[in-house]
Amino acid sequence: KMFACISFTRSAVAFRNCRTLVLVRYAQTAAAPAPEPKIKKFQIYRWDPDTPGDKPRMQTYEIDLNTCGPMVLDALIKIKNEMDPTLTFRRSCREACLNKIDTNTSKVMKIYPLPHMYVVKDLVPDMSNFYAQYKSIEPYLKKKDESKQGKEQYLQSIEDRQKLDGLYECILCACCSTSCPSYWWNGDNHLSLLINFTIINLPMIDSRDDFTEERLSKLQDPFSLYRCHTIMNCTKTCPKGLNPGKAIAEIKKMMATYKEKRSSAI
Amino acid sequence: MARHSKLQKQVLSLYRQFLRAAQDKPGFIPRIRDEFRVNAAIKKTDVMHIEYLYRRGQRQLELLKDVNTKQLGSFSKSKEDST
Repeated sequence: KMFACISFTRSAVAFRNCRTLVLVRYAQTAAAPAPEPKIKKFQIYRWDPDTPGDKPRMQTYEIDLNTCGPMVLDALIKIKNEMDPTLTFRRSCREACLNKIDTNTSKVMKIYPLPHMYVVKDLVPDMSNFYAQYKSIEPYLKKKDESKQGKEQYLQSIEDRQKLDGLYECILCACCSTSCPSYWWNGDNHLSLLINFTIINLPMIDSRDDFTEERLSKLQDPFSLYRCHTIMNCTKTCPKGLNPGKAIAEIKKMMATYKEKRSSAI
Repeated sequence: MARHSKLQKQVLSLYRQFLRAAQDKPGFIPRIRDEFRVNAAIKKTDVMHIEYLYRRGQRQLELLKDVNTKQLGSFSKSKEDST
């Protein structure tokens, strides 16, 4: 029975019975030859502003892909643990987590911090501008009548809930904003670019929020919404597969009807 | 006498803002002075480093101005402790 298990692939290890599992594993490690080391080169952007006179540079690391997990974040953690503990990066980088390492060992893999953002150190960008913009759109539910707060749930129909479906999965990774050339040129404007927050601008689409008109009027100036020229880099880079470009288009539509209402009211 | 460059003026105005914000809160002023004094030794041509420190200073100034910041203290190691 044991020999029959050797010819299976690793999925055979998933059998429920513990004893056969252990037997299969022993058989596999005994039978399989030592795999060849698959060395992949990683070029990583490094800059340490605390050491005087340091210039930004690309540093190359080599990793054997057999000893490392499949994701880029695994590779970075391995480098930090074993080769270079001074490598700095934010652990919450789900974007790096989502990309599998291309197992083609002849290609070098290059890792840069988020584009067009000031770098605090190595791969850590300065996200304070991004967070300030997030704060300015007031990403929470606001009700006109606050008296019922906390007493019971605010109910919502199934259709209304479905409108939120492509929006709530956003993990605030900032990939969409930082990949948009329009954001590069206008990101830190005074009336700053709220565009990629349209996806987080859940409260605008959420039927439970009462302040839709005020939120729309906030976007009325030429910078916040209309710098979007549908470049669609955002949709291409989103690690969760969401569609910020479409969300912006929806909001532009909402703005058009809101303007009509306003002009007809006047 | 050579005039201050734009960057120098920015750094000086940052210093002034720091001192004004720290007037009512105890413990900040010696720390601010030390930090600026140490970094004054950076060469004028090392613009990247200066800009990095300038941005860091602005972030710290926001923290200082925040209503919830009350005072700054520090611990120092005395000779008896290090045995």
